Amino acid sequence: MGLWQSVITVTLFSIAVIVIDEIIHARRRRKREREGTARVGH
Amino acid sequence: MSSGTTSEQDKRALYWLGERLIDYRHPVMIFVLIITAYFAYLSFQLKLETSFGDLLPQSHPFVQIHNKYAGTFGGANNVQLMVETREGDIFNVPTLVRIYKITEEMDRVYGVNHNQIDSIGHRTTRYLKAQSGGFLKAEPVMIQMPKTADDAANIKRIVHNTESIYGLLVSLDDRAALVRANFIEARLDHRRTFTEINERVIAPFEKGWIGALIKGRDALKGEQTAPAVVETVYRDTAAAKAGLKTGDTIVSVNGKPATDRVELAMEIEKYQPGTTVTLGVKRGEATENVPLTISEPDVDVFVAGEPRLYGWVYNYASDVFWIFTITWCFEWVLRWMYFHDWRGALRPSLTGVIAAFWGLAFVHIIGFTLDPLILVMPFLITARAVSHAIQMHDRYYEEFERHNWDQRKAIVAAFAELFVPTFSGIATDALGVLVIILVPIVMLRNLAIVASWWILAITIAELLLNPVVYYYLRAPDPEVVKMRDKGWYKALINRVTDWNLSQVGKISTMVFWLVLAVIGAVLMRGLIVGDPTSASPLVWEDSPYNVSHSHIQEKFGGVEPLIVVAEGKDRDAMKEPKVLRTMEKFQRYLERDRDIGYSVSLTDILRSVNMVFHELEPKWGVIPNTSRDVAQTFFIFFSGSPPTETAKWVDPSYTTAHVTFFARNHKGDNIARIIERCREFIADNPMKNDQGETLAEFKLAGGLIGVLAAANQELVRNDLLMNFLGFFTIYIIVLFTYRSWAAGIYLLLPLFISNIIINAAMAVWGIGINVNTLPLVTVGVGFGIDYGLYILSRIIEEIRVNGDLELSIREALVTSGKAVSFTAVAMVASTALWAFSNIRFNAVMGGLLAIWMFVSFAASETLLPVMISYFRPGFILREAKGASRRPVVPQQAAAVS
Repeated sequence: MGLWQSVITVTLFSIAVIVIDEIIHARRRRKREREGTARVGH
Repeated sequence: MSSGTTSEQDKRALYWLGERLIDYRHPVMIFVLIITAYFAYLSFQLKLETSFGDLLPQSHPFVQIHNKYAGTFGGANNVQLMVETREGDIFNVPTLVRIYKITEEMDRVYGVNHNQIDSIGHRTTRYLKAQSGGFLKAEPVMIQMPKTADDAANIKRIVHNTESIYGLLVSLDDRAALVRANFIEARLDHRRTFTEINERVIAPFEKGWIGALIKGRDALKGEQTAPAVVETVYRDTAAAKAGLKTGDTIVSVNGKPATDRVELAMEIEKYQPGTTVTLGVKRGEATENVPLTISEPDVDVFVAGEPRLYGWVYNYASDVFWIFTITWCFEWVLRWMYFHDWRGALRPSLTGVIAAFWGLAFVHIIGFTLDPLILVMPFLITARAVSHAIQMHDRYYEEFERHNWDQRKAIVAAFAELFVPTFSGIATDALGVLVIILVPIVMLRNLAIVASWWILAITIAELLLNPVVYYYLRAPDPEVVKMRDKGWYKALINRVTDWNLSQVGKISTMVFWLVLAVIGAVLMRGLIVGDPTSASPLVWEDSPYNVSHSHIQEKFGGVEPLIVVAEGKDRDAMKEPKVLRTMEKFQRYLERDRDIGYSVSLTDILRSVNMVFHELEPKWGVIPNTSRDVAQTFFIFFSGSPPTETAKWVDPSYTTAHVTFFARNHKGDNIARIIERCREFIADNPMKNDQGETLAEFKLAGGLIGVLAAANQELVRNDLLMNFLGFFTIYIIVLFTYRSWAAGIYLLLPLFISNIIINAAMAVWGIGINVNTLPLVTVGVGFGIDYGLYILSRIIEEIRVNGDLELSIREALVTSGKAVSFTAVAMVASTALWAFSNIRFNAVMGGLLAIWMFVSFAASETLLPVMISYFRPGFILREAKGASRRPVVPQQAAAVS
């Protein structure tokens, strides 16, 4: 493995972690919002 | 909330600074980014290189002697190449031709000293030939390649009758020949030497040998390629069976073009013996396909010596990239799991990357290069930067919750509260490493400067840029921050802390560390300076290098030179029988040492020539009685040889000569013993004439053994001093940080015990103190203190608020202690992966540093709080006095925010 292969791999990996994290948190937020709305509806 | 031992006024200043950094975030960010981008550019220009001279203590008298005579009598950079037959002896035409060609190719490798090649195939290896009319003449053993079996038999006769060749350049069982080449230090290029030896010296004559002599490049037109023209085809070989003929030009192997001998050999050696390949052979104008079945190699070639060793190290240096990649990814996952947020994974990486660019650019700016053997060091410094950032990030989340999800207040509070422990940690790390500058070895001095700067560069990313970056990043979800304080990790920390602070836990902790320290102190007595094994500790024992090294040692006794120079007072001093007899006596004296294989000097030639001159009568194998007879004998041997050839034995004015001993290994304790014996002999045997005037003096010492002895002596001289200064520097910084004489003792005791344990581990695992291990070991001392600084600062911070020592210790351990435990895990993970490196040295040092980081963490997390709880130090308790009066956040800072 060379320098640039290494740099590209870690960059892509980091971006993947950020994207996954954002997706997870967005789902959680939506879930929270839905639960909040449902409670208000009751 | 206030913290540390900083005064109210200092704390206000830090809060003010944090606010201003956020206010001026755009210019600060642009400034740092521009400089970092430039430094990043410079970092990519950096080269991986080792300068042999930089590894030596240049002011040491041994090294000065080495430098003075390395060009004539040989230096430390010898390559030993052994050609060993699998069956029969070497005295047959195809084998002798290969030895001749290997020698010729070795003579063309970049950086080789053409006058310091020893091989039966080299022009400078001569024997005495009696000619008609009673004349004696010194002729090269192989003036040209042998062509017939008679030629081979004649060479065998010459070898068996020449004392300076048989057993030294040809093994006593006739199955191996040695080619020894010395390289000019100033022209050492390890990568190039490694590649050229592989491609040009080994491949065409070992696995790439098809049983035909292929024409090589013209010696006078080295840069031009020469087509692979068959010169001679030997009987019963793969080439003969394939029907190759003299004059054929081989142009391809299985369709792959082979433009010269090297390409042909490199292609052939890719295939297993028994495989049939198709050679594209040009005969006249036509090109034919000739099937050739590759046979088992009939000789093995082994190569050892320092340039070769470093060649292997460079070859393995690219390990750093996969280790970096896996470490980065693993650390990202770890931090993401800990913080439940990508910001927690990203922010420490930014600190690490910025500090790395600043550090690497500095290396380039001041004209240094990176040694592949210290690559663990940048990893460790970067890991340290990352761990400071983890502490800061954890604190930011804590303050975020404490300040009711006000991002700006949280950023400023985290910055102000952690400024002191972070800066103290960085300062202790930087100054701790700087003490290495005391060792008068250029590489270590360079390293001390570079590492200190690199560590100080962490302040840019960690303190200057940190509030700015946090302000730019969106604040985390409160849910994420709360999640960090829940889960099994937090529960584990709580449980361990409760047990550790219980009565049983306290006693157990003290006893445990005491017992460990005692065991460590006993074991560390086995720690040695220098290399502890005969194989090179830089690469694994079963690596190709060490296998070659041990094979050559087995066949030829010793291959690592110790050069002792005999410096005469006047010209012709080396013609004095008294001087020569003392040199001979010295050889016989030191050869009795179990780790000296053999020795060579001018006296060997003298005795040998004298014997030949007297009809080969063994009784004449002695040094002549008068200087006139000595001069005549030398004349017989050296007449007709140019001064460049004779210079490897004696200088042209016969003022200075040398005795070279070949040691079986370079173990630190063996080197020390051999040097001591040399000193004893020299003291007991002054080279004086009958009037008591000094004729000549022995000067220690060149060659690999000589310069290693010098380096080891410097390390012994400075090791204790460096350890003391390392600890003393840390003590002084702690003294100023906590304004207490006792604080240093509390923090240094766990570190001291860790140091004992690591030294014991080095002794047990056979890792010696040398120029490579020393900087890493010293860095560990500085780095180990950081964990304690964070915990102690937090205890003081807490006691200022709640006034209760036990409560403060517990709170510190479950907050800062938790982050410390996580940073320790991250640090250990960063260095532990090196254990899988092909470079044994890096693997061992990585593993060792991982253990060091863990032991320091464990001692700071368990022993330090227990000691504070037991002894209730005044410098902490005095902070409790104003507990109720002190505001949680300084008034001014609160007003600003």
